[in-house]
Amino acid sequence: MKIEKYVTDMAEALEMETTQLTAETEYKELANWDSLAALSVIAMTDENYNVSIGGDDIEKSRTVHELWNLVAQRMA
Amino acid sequence: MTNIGSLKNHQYAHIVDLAAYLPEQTLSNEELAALYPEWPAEKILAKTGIRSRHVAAPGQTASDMACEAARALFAQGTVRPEDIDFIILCSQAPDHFLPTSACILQDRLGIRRSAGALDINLGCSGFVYGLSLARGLIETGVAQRVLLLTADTYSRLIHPMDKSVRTLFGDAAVATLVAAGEADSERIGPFVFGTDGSGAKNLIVEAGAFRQPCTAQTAVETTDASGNVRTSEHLYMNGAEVFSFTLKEVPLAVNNLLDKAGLIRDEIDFFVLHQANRFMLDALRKKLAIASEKMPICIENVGNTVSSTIPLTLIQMRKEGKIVSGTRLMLVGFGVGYSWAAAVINF
Amino acid sequence: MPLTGVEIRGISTAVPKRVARVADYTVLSEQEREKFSAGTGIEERRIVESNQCTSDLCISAAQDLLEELQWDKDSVQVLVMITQTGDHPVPATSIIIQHKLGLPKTCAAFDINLGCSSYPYGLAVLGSFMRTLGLKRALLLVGDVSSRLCSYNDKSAWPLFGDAGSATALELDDSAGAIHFDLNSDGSGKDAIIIASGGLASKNPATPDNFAEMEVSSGIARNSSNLQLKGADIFSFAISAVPPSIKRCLSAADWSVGEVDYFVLHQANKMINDFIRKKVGYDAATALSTLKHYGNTSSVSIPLTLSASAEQLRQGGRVILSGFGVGLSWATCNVTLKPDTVLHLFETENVY
Repeated sequence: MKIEKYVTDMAEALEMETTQLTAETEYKELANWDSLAALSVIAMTDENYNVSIGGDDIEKSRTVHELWNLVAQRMA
Repeated sequence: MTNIGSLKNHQYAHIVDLAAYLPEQTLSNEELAALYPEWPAEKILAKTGIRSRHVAAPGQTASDMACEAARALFAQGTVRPEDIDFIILCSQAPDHFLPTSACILQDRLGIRRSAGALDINLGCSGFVYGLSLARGLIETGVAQRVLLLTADTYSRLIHPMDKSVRTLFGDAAVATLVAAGEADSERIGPFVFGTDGSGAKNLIVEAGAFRQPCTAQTAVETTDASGNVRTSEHLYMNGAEVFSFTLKEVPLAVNNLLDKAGLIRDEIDFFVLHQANRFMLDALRKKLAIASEKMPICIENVGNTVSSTIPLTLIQMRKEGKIVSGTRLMLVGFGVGYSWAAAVINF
Repeated sequence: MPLTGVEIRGISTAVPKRVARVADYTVLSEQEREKFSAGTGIEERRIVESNQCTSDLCISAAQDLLEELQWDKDSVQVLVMITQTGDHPVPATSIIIQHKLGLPKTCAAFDINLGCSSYPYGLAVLGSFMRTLGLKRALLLVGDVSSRLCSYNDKSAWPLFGDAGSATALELDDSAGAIHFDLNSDGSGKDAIIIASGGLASKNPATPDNFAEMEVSSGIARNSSNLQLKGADIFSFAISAVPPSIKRCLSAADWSVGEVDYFVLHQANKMINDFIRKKVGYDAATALSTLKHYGNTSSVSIPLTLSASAEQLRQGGRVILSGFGVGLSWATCNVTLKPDTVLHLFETENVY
């Protein structure tokens, strides 16, 4: 699985245009980021990647890339 | 009692093993006598039958002690953590209002996540109740190996200058393994139970939960007519009332259970009562007309350890060779609530 | 191994009269309130006045149920109370309830500390207790006054929780359907839902400082005696642990998803429950919910939802009950309800 797909999936979960989100985006700084957005990302990651992420993971990761690294690790 | 069909024929729940944990620090009568002028050490011993009690270390909770007791049980080799599929913690001093302390213990003890876990809030009647729950879970096939933990830190609930209770209570924890085994008939039971909430106010921690939340008022110290100091956030006991309740209900329960089990006194090898204090036990023994050899006492060096008194006594009896295969006991727990329960146990 | 021979004769649930509407919660902006209701499915809850306790709600429910079933009080042989908001630290609340209900002294009574997973656990423990000891009739009381645990200034907790107290009448009956249980625990998640400080003998005894409210982040202010939630962790746990638990239970019961009349999940929030529904693969029409008007009622959400569904369950039916949350603890069971099982939901101001 590649990061590009994760970025696309994340944009969808956050109800954003894919052009507005990149791997380097600091997603928690986005205007529409809130606790419900966090849940959407957790749900998407579980549904599409079969990986469980939690509050700490989101806390620790600044960019989409950093979050993806955690997800990719757990897919192994 | 007929097998209800979930287990293979001739399989009934029984007590497999027990292990205790007593915290290191002790509190002796001498130390207490230094605090209470009219109560020399000898008087405390004479009144209560207790010489010293164990006290949990600062920051050590009931569930910490339960964890140690469980580890001691695993070290005895009869069961491994991974074999346990249900945890019952009986305590009136949980780590938190929520989450359930037994859930935290699941993680600390390395027990599987597909194990059930819950806390029950009972005191002196807790071990006998705990056995009835464990038996139910096992003989209906809901669980196979139940870790029954009794643990309390009453020392924390007691005001240092309340001699009416500080001399009596000690801290301890016991881990008991209940599992299925071959037998011709039930090994845990029958039971009688008793509940009387009109006695709640006679052994109570009034403030700290939801009927009376903590406020500035509840932290105010009061001194009673006997010079005992406490706040409403501390344990209060009306000794006379509790004694009166015990003398009334315990003999009734014992006789009811003998009837129910179709046994006479002589057919019980030992009566193991909740070790409340020596004075009460002597009074009960006389009223029940039981020979002193048949009613073990285990209180001198541990005090009243609430739900752990009965299993601690069983451990001592086992060490003394009093419990062997075929020994028949009657266990009777009674106290705070008021709550009481009695059971016949066939080892 | 299933539990056999234990029937649910009725469930009665009492809620307090006072209504707290999300629309009135000004700690959140109007836009935030709309988003909150859309995401959680909660529009209002019932919350107690400061002097009403869980036991008061459960006593009301029990009295209603005993009357409706015409059960003689002397016939009740066991009373179990499951709550995390009892009357006193010592003694157990069930014992006080025995007295206030006028139940006989020969009735066994004890409390269990569990939250959202209470109902299936309660059925397992009490059902097996009744069967092995031949105790014909029992009352399972489940309730919480979670509103009293939350700080009003904590937008992550206050608008979620509602209060309720329920009573379930259980009776031994050989014609009862078998109940299969899937029981689980994971203490590594203890911090996901927690009250940090507690009584004198707890892990963190409360000190006077603990009552001062601290601002944790914007819109979240509370003290260490208030409930703390880690929403993301709870969500993550629920969506990964609950669907397999439901599937294991269905498999043990040999029921296909299509053979289940209703799925009754713990009512935490709509997002979680929708996700679980999709993962297990059942129809939205079979999902019963009380989130809209009662919010998250913690231990009592399952019996409350059953009590609120008398119409749907008039002919009885096959239900899957799944509770999950604080502990972390989660449990699923299957129940076959008979037609005309008593199901009542009512409000009360009573204090006993």
